[in-house]
Amino acid sequence: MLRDRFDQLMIAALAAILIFTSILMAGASPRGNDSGAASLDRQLEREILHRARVDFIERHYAPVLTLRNNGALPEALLKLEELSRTLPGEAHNDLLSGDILLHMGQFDRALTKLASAVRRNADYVDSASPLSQRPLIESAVSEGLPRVRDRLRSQPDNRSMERVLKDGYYLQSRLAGGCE
Amino acid sequence: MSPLFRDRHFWVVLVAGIGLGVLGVLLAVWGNPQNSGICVSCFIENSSGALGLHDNERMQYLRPELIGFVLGSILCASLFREFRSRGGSAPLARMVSGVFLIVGSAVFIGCPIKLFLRLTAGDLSAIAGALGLLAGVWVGLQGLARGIDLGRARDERGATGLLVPAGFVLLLGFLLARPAFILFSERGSAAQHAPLMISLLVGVLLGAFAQRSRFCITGSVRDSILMGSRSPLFWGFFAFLLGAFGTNVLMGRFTFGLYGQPGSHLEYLWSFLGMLLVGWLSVLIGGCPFRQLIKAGEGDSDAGLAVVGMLLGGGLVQSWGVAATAAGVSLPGKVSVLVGLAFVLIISLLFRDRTA
Repeated sequence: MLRDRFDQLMIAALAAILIFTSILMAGASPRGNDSGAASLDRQLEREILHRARVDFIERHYAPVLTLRNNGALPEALLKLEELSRTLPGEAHNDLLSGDILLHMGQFDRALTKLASAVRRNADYVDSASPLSQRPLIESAVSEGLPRVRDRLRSQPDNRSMERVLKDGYYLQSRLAGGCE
Repeated sequence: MSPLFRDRHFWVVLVAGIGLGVLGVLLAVWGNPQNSGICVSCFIENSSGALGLHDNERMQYLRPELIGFVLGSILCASLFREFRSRGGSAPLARMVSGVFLIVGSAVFIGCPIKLFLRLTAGDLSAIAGALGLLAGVWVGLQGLARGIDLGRARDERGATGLLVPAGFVLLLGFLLARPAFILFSERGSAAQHAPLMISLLVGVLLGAFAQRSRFCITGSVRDSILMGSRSPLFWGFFAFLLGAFGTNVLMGRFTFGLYGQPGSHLEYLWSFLGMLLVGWLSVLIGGCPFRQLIKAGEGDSDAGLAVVGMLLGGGLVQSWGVAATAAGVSLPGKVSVLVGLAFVLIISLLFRDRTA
């Protein structure tokens, strides 16, 4: 170390760069400089987008919820079908279908719809999310799974019921948590 | 009294094993995802996401445990004068191996540590992975016996071994300062975490013990196959299983069964193949993902490159949809495992010493 002028020069340059970096960082605001803050703060941007999506979904599906709350379950399903044309593949459509079918006592179809909703958007099983629907999914699993198992016992060759059982296990696993 | 029990190293291994088992479960009790108190591959995926290497909003968190493992290892290695900058043994092959370690783990949903945490929590679906790991270690040993060797690491000039630990110090700085470009999930499994200081301290503690004892899961399986109960690692592994099982039962986290287990799927063939890949690679490069972190902390820049590969792999498995979910294993996941197995076969062919 510091054997000759070249070493000394490099040490001096290193010290200068470290000092300059420290000054630069000390002068900047904690969330970046003013001009770059908006583009840098992806976290905030993401949060705003997420909230906007939640608001949009709530507004878009409000008529369905009104019908469901008034007990008009078949009409609510029809309304969902109509709305699915404007938002094809939207997870919330499957979630509400599952909810309504569960209220209608169609446990197998409800499990399939709920599993499809969770596959598309895992927020439904996340208690930290504003979209969380854990109680609904828990009740579908606890009420639906034993019924599906019973039906499979009496009809062991029923392939569609086997698929429903897999959907039920999928939901059970997602409710149990884990890292994915 | 067996001479093994009189050996101080034996007791260090035992403490490391039991510590990993107990704290691995307790971290989940304190906030980490269920059955994932310690999962190096999940944590790597989380950390890659936090660094912006993938955009899965539910998998972004700089896991303090990972930082702790490396810092605990370097502290302990320095204290006992075992820190030594070394490397130069097939570095690129090791880096790509790091990528495939994460691919195999992501298809199984968990690293070898999590595999046994899942089993000791009653998750029978992990049995296929355990058999795969066992098979992978066995095949790897067969290869070693027939001359497959990536070569010896050499002492390196300068302090290259400090680069990876320095990188983790930088990550610690990011974790504490939370600059805007580091991403933290607010929902999903990455939002579930034990308090930062507890995670960090547990990481440092386990990193130090793992460095001192050389304890790791695949190393234990390897030594158990080779030496049986004469190996301290056999007993360390047993202590790990016992510690994890006991803590799971005591904490009410033992749920015996095949279905509905947290973070698991029912595609047994792919669980088997994923862990086969991890076991085989671990034998070739000298340790599972956890051990690579510990070795990187000891100054091993080859292991450091494997860690870099793991971080890259963490980004790729999420971005390319390789990682399995409870719904099963995706086509990219299946293809990636097969490509990984092809990669191990190719490096086995290329790095075989046929003169013996």
